[in-house]
Amino acid sequence: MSDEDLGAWYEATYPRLWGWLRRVVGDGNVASDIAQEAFVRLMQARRETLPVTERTPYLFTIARNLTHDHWKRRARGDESLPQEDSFYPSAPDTQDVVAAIDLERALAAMTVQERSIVWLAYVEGWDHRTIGRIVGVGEKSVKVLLFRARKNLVQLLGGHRHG
Amino acid sequence: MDEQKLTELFRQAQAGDRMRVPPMTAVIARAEYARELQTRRRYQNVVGWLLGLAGAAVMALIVLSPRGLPLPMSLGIVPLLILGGVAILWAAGDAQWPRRAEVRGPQGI
Repeated sequence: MSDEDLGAWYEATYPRLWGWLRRVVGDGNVASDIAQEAFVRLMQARRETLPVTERTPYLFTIARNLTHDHWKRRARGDESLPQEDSFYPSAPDTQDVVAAIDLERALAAMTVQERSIVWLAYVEGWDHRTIGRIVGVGEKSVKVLLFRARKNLVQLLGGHRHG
Repeated sequence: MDEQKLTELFRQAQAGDRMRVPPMTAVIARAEYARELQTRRRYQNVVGWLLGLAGAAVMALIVLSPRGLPLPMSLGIVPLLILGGVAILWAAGDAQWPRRAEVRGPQGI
């Protein structure tokens, strides 16, 4: 992989990784720290030996391990996301803003594993096997966890809408 | 809520993310610095422990040998070795790990 390709891959992947991490750890600054550290670790490893298709899931796996390290360091019991109502300041449509805030609140009410899995499934569109490798559970477990997480999310979204 | 609507919601959330990507050069520079630091720490640890062990060995020689080393020599060499080892290990442990690369560029490292 040439430096140019690597640069393009980095530019495309950093926002994706940051977006997932922000939902998982609930803090944009911590997400930036972990995202950069994950890239640093990947670059320190032998990136040439990794197939291109494997690189992004591998990066997400490194980031997942780093989030665990982060929580261990912080020894924090409460992993809920902070409410960031000003997170969508430039969204043009009011209805979109409401929907986006609803989703953020619903994600915040879910467990770390649930929001991690639904994000990887709906945003990244990865299969159960890849998601399982990233979050550290079996392929079959992902199917069950994703089903439950989706059900929970739909309920939470309904609750926010009507509550 | 159907899958399509849910996917759309997630896409909107992702599109709404407001963040700036730090330059890759900054992240690469940080990776290189981290690698150098790691190597330096490894050497410092080895040298520190060797010095400390050498100090302990000389001290053992002084205690165990019937005649011992001449006093000025033992007074000089033992603390020098042990303190040298401790100082190097201290430096290895105290080295500053590179900070997160800022959006402004490599100088932010």
